[in-house]
Amino acid sequence: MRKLIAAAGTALLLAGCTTAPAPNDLDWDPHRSFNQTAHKVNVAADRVVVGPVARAYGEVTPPLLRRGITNVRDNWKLPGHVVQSALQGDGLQVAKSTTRFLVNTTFGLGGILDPAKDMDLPYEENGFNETFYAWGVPEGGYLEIPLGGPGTERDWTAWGLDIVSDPLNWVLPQEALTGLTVVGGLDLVRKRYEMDSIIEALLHQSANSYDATRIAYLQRMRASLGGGTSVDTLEDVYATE
Amino acid sequence: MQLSKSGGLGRRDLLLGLAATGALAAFGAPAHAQATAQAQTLVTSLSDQLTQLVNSGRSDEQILSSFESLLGQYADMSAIGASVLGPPWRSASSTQKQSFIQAFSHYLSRRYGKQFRQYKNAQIKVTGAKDGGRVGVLVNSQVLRPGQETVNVDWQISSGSGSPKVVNLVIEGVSMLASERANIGSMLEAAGGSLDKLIAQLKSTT
Repeated sequence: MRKLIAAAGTALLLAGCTTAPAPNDLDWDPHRSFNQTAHKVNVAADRVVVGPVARAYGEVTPPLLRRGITNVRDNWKLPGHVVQSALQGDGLQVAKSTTRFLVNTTFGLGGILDPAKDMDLPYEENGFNETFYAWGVPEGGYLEIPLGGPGTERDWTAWGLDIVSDPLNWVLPQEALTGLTVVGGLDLVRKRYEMDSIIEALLHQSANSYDATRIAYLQRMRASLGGGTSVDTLEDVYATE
Repeated sequence: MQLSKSGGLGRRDLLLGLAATGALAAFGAPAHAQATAQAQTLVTSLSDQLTQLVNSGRSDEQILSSFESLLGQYADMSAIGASVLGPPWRSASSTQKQSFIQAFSHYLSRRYGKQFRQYKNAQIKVTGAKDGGRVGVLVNSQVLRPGQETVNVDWQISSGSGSPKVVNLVIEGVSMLASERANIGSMLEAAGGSLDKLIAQLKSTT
């Protein structure tokens, strides 16, 4: 079912992709009215359910357990990462991710521990979004999905493709895949907990929660794909005086 | 978000290394290397003070007001305020400008001070710097929190006022200037475009 939804969503998004803004643009917002409605749903869900659940989860779980869960989830994303690095033509990263997966699956007890990090093979996010970025596919319009959160047309397309193309789908039994989905959910809850003060300020203490979230999301996504904040995005604060 | 490879080095080694790298990169342009080194020194000294402050065991209110004075000391609040307010700044009277900057400093220190207050036992590590020319130097740092995700914080340092000052903070890629411009814009709109009402509202930020 999950795969079906993702595939349908992907097809829909690819068909409807809008044109590109300037690289560092923060004003272009073609789906604004849809997004604003979705944002209201998301803010309410975060206030009533997600935020309280995340804080409760954070308070009852020791950091080591949370770390272990994140490690497992990160580890089993690696086979998919290898495929992505190949699509990006990055042979070195194919080797690194493969080694990391082998080391952590064996010596790291299925990925609970992360000995590969100490071998200078840290976890790095990868997926179709990174591949599309490498190929120069534009990010598309900002698109906030009810109960899904912020994204862009490219992000959501990539998200759907990541789910349907995960090599684990053809290797692991359904129970294991379900288990990994649960682990992935717990990791999202952890992230919400560890970033609590930033997310609270953004979602619930901003004069305009929608634009605050949109602007923060776009900048963060661009910095993450570009390997950090680029000096090209900085403004000259003395220019107007 | 991975830890830097230089995780095992002390701050002094790191700074020396960075200074050397900076000097090499800017070979033939010593002024640039100097700006980069100065910016790093400024951020290192500010992060030391911030770390001391959050671990001082003082009350929340004391910490927030000390945070405000640190901002005044290390950041160019007039330039930040003017840039965030945008066009209304130009039509404001000099009294309004002065009280806006005061109120904005109060507001900003509450909003961002609450974040820093969470960083008890955290360590701020300067990891690099890049000279952006006219816009200033971007100094990269990582806030290392025991048992929690590392937060990347970049500091934009500019000498546009004559001496190096913090003019922007980029937390996890998110620029404070851009975010606050949207925020202050919305607040001004909600205040019916009245700058005096906005100033009163900023002053009352808790």
